[in-house]
Amino acid sequence: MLPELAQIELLAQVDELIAASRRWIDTDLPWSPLQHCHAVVRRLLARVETLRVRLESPLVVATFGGTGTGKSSLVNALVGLEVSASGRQRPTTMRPTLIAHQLTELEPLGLPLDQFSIIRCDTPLLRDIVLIDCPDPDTTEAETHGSNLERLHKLLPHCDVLIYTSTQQKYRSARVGGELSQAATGCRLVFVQTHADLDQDVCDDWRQQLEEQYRVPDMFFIDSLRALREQQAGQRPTGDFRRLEDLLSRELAASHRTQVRRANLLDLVQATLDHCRTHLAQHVPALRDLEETLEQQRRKLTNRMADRLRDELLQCGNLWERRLLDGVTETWGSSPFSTVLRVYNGLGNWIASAGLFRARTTAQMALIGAVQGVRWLASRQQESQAESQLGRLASLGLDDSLLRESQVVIDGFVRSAQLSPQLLDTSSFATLRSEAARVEGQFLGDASRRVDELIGDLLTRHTRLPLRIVYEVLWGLLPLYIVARPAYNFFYAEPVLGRPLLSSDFYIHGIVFLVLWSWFLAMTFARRLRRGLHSRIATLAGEMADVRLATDLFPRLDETCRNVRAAVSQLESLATRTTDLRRNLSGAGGLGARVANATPRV
Amino acid sequence: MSSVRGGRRFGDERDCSSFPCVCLKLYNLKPPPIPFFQSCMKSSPFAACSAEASRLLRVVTSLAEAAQALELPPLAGREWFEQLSRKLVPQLADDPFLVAAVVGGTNIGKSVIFNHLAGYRTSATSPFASGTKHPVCLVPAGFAERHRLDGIFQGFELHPWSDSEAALAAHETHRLFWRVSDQLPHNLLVLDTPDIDSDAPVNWHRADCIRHCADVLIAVLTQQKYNDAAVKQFFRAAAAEDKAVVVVFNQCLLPDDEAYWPLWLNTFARETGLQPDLVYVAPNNRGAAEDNRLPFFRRHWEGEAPAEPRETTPADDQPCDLGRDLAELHFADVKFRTLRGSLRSLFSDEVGLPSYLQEVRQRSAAYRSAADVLNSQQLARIDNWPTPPSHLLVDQVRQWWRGQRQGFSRSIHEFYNSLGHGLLKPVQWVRARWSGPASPPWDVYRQQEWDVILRAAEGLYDELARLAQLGNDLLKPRLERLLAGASRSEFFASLTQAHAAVDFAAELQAIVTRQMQSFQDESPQWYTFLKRVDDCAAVARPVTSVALFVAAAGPAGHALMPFVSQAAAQSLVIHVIGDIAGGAGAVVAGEAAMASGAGGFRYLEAKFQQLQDSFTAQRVAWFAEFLKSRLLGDLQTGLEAAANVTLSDDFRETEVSLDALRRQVAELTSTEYSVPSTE
Repeated sequence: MLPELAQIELLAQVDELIAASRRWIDTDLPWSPLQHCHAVVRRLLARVETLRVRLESPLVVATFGGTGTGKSSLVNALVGLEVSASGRQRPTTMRPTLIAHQLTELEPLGLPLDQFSIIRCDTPLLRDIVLIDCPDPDTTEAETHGSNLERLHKLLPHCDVLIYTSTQQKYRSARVGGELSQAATGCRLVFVQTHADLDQDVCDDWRQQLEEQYRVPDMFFIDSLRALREQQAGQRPTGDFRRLEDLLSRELAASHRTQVRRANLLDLVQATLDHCRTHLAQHVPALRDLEETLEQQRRKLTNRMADRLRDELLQCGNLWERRLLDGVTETWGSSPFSTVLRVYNGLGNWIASAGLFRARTTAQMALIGAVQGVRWLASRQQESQAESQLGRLASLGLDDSLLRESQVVIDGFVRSAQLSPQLLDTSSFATLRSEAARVEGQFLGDASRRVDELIGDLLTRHTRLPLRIVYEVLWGLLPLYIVARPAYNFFYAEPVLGRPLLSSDFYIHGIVFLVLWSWFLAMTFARRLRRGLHSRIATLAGEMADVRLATDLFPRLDETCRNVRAAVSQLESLATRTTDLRRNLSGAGGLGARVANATPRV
Repeated sequence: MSSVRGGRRFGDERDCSSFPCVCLKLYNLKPPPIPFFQSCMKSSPFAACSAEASRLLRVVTSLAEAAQALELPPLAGREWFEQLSRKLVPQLADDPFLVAAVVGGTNIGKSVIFNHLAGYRTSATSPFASGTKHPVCLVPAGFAERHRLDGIFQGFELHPWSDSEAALAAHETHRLFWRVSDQLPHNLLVLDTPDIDSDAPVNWHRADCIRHCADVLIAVLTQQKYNDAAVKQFFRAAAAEDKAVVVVFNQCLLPDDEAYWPLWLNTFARETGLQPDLVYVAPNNRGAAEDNRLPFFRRHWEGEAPAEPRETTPADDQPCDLGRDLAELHFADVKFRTLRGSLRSLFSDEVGLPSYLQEVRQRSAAYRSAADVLNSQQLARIDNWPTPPSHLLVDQVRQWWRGQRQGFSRSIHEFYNSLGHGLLKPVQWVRARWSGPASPPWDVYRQQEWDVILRAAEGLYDELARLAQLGNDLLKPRLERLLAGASRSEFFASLTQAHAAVDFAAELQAIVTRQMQSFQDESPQWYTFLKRVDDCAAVARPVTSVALFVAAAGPAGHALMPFVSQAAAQSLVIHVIGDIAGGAGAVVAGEAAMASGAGGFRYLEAKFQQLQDSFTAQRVAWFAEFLKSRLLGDLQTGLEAAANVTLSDDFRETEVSLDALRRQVAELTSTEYSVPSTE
């Protein structure tokens, strides 16, 4: 790819990044740390707009450094004229001086021009840049109105490049260092040690100090006074000053403007995103706690419902028997033993209907039948009388006290996580109840399906043909005997052998024994049906406990947590993109810059 | 050489208006009369108040410990406290030795000047900034035997000087290297200190510590740094303590800077409020500095110099010996001055100990009002606390009554009761089969009570949230801690556990026994009447038992049912904080019924009502106590403790000791001096 094309490609990526950031702040989530970050990024984007306007205007280069470090002398030497007063009294420069080429239009720069002494001259270096001689940051103790520090702070946001001057005495000054680390974000940096005529070279030690925070490609140890003298004598300056001049005219040329400004912009974007990440990282643990608590609550609910379901299913053994016998008779159709079972079952149902085995709980409803159960529940939910609903609700364990406790605890976590309390509509306990009813309904629907499956499974095992034949034959023996015995007596014994006819008492006895026999066989069969039922029910309840419910007690809260997570990871990816871009865009070149802070991952 | 201007300055009123930010024009301190001074030459002028100062330090330290609950910034770092602990207590009693310290910004030649004072290379110098990291002290011969150095330099780990590089090594403990010097007067200590403006704040701290105990500061200034904010701040504090200051302008470009140093010094004096006692200029001569032969030129500075630079190189300019000039200072005068300065700073109403006491008072009052806000709130409101199941109550009463029976009546009743139980068994079994096993009665009650408790807890949390919104700055963070999710779930976990552990039956039994006993004691005639009825009943028991059993009413005790109303819905408000803390139990309803119930069955009815009510009251009290101990107790005791700091002995003693010290100082300086009222 052509170098120019690569450059354009990079710049396009910066634009895309800005667009992505803009999309990121468009999502509206009720999490106050995120809202704070959105506000911060929104401000950044507003500043990006102003930067875009002056993308092509000359770069603003300012001197920055402690008082007495020779800022004004350096400016004079760069211009080749005594334009800014340098002196031996501290502070020397109170009103910042702006030096521009005669042809440069100053208005588009957006600088507060009334704050400056403006000087025009036609030094070649000034064709591409505007120079500012700044006041110092270290003679003022507090930023009061009219102080040097205030003047400086107003100026710095407009600067594209800072020439950081220091001396042997000042290069480790805490105040200047602190000010620089605030000012350096969004600026290219050039590091210059002045007073080469008097001081020793401390560049190496200085570089060590700087490299903790800044990228330092080059350093200069200059004597501004000599450079000025040389220029006034019509010579080109020598030594480090010449190198400095070369660097400035090379790196700050018109062709590099966009690149410098984009790099500055990326600095700002990254600093902002890092700030956001740090901010969010502080608050994410609380959110995680909330999510964990929600998960725990969900588990607690499911376990409780499953336990209750198991207990109740175990309690209603008779109902199981009814249901299974129903199934058997349906499968076997009409046959003698089947009829017996039907009668047996019918009698049982009749007794049940007298109140003994009525379905009292929702679990029993589940047992009676999925279809009926769900229909019944649906109709129940529509019933306006909350009381009957409550009675049912409690039957699966989601009673008021559980809900209330959940609500109060979750409310606390929502508070700690700084989510909007409106997500948890605490005023309306009824809402929570209906959510709970929905959860129970869903759980019950699942349970009913599984109970049906279980019954189907039991039925296929117990309605096999050999078993049926055994029972049919066993039962058939007695009626056969009751019919065969009178027949033998009537047709053979009485006429042939002359025995007396059987008295009608025989029939009475026969019927009595038939009833007893039928009852015995039906009971044995029923007992057989119920064999192993307990362990099957326990397994079923165990499976139900592991089921993840699709609905939740706090659906809005759940959804918000998910969305917040998504927003946080989007921020992460934005930050990664910025870092990559920054590496590509500002890695090269002779200008220094601030190194991104290592921020904790969210 | 007549360099001592300290002596001349005693008695003259310093014109305070020219340094507005530092002037502590507190007491019109006058110099002691000459005889006093002469008599005290061997010891400090303020030796008499040394004991009181030590006492003050002790009580104020223990006050600070007591005041931890107030969450005030620590004492260390407060100027008056540093003065008290580092200067006054160690130096008040001792003979008047002087501590002179070379101070200034980084990389301006402090160590060079120190080496010149020492006469040989004691501190290593380096072209790089922030070289000296630990102070180095020159001690006159024999001084260490007469004085405890670690008492003078508190907080420093003392090391004998071994080589000039030792003070350059970074180490996290505050070290001080000391070396005996034969050239020093017997009572002069000279120190080299770390810088006051580099990016290593620990250096500033060490320099500050040395400043606190110093009497003379040798201020090293340069053209670049004389107006730096960090430098000005440091020397402003020194001016407030009335330190003697020797200004050395180092690295001057002579003779060019000859015209400028008065201007620099003007700015410096104006900004800091310092009046230098001696002024020197030293040229920028790196070679001479390294060889320890830098010339120091004495300059006279007479206050405000002209604003315009003016050539002022004196004709007879000869280098001076800095060390000798220092030794010629009037030690007693300087000592008096600096101790007086420290005392002023200690007594200052704006920045001294009185201001700290005022801070404690205000903060304590803030805690008081926070505690009041909390106490005045009706935090928990409880509606419809459930009444215990009446049949259980009756069971308990019957059991108690059974214990009262004696003789034949006892055997008859026992026999029929066991018979009745035996006969009832199958009936109960059938009932259980028919309608499912009945849940144990106490479980039902437990559940009801739990519901009410949860409702109350919910209300309580709502109230706390509302209170947090009110915006009391002290309450808010504490309440937020309580309102946090983790704290809530912990609370509920412990509440669930505690509630599950309650033995209702035992509690009820205790109440019944107590109440019935009091019934027996209060109305013996009723008791004997009932007892007689019971005896008669024993005679008729075979008949009544059969009749009652047939009527399926169960044991005879159920006949008492009408006495006990089931729905005793009460609305109780517990002032969890106020009431329970005050030791009063929850409201016991039913007392009124007792009082108004005239007699007859009304009396019995009221008695039963009271049984129920006292059980309920006991349960409510249990809950209130739980809230207090597990949820709100720490909050309230914490606030109360903080609110009561001003009532503590430590606080009073500090006030008393401060007053006493003031009075002693006033006497010593023989000044008309009125003690401000400690309001």
